[in-house]
Amino acid sequence: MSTPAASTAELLDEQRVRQKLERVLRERTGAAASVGALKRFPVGYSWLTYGFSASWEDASGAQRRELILRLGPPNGLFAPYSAAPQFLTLQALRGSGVPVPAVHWHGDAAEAFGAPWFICEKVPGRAPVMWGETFSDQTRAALGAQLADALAALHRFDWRGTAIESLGGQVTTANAARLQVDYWAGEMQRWQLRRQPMAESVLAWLRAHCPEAPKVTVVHGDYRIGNFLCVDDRITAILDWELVHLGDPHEDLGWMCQRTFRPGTSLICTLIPRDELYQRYERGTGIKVSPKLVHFYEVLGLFKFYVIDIGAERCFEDGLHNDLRLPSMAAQASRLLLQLEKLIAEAP
Amino acid sequence: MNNTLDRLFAGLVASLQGEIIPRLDDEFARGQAYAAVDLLNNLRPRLDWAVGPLAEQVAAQLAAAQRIAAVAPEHALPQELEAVPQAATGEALRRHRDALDEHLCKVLDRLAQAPAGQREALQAVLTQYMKEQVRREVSLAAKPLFGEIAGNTGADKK
Repeated sequence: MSTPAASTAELLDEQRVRQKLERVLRERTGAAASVGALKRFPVGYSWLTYGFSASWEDASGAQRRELILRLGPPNGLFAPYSAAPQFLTLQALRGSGVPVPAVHWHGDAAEAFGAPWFICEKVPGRAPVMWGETFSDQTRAALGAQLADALAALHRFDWRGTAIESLGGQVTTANAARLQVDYWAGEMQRWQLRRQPMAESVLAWLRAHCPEAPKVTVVHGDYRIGNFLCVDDRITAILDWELVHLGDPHEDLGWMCQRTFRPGTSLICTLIPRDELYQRYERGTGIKVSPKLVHFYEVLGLFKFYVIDIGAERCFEDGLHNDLRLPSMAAQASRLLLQLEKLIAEAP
Repeated sequence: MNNTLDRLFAGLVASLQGEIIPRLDDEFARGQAYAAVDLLNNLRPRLDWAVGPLAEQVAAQLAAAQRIAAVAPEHALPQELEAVPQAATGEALRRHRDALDEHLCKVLDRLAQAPAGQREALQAVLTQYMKEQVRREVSLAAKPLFGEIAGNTGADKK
């Protein structure tokens, strides 16, 4: 008989999670493992994140690791989840020049925790956000340069012949944009509580303007400030790979250039001037940045924000969450539509 | 805002009781939070969506629909949508608004098939309506508190 899926309440039951963790570690290491207190990181609206210490003894002696467990809950915004895409990507990218945490184990079946899961190393650092940071000029410049360079490393990574190929071998330079537009259109239809003419008009614009990609690369899908860790002036890890896929590299550029990630400043992600980002990126990848393509993906990115907002609204309406941030976020959806109208009018 | 009032009130009460009050150490603050729960429970049966902005939006939708029908009679409004509901409660107006937007979306769906000339005329009507509608909705939205809401989350990410 297969193990039933866990409820979110069970995934939040730290005693239960700790017991399951000890069992998983025992199975994976072949030794009795001891797991310390869990620390839940209250971030995001989808994957649950726990930090913990684990110790065990194997043939090479006593082991002690600081680890992270991520669990995909059944009521998350993008549920049902799969741990495989991000796990396989992180595994393949190790040593590529993209700073990523080392991943250890994962599973999508319910047996271990009742939900998709993966365990990776805990990387030191904090995640700066776009509001209220007071970087020195030196720190800002250093982080901005590394953010550009890490993206370049990701987009020059040769994914063919690696496990990443399984993420979507059907993606081509001709259909990369169309596939993304179709995906987000589908999410909009799945989530919307009512039809909204302006949103559908934006979608029609996107469908009519899908560009050809210069090449197909790994796309992080949520590459921005807030999704990396740093210690002082050094980026230690790029995080949150749950939207990783194959596609047009301009997609990550268009996403990180969103105004949302640079409130009150023209610096991309509050860190780096746009022209400097493009120059470093072009040097690092050999890809000539097309402002027209970046603009298209900025529109798609802003549309994604809108779709995520109405997803939050749906999630709340259906009673999957009582998290008040969801309807609060959705209350701003009309502002996104206004921004979309203006952004489309700025097409180069 | 497209969530129902019932769900918004239920979620507010559930979050106060399940997430906020258990984490409040100060007795006065807990008392205030319980009073907020009590007020929300008392307000719910007495509140409806404001009629004024919804009536304004429905009027704009009907005007757009009439202009569309003048250009393309095949897109005439179904009879049941032509008149604003009598005894127009906020909830009834919301349903009417949603049905009218559905009608306008169907016009958008078929825009590409419209003959040249008619297509541009329809697009002009729809564009004007959509621009005005979005601005009307934005005028009702409070200044966002994204930074404050994220204050206790992003910086703790590890």
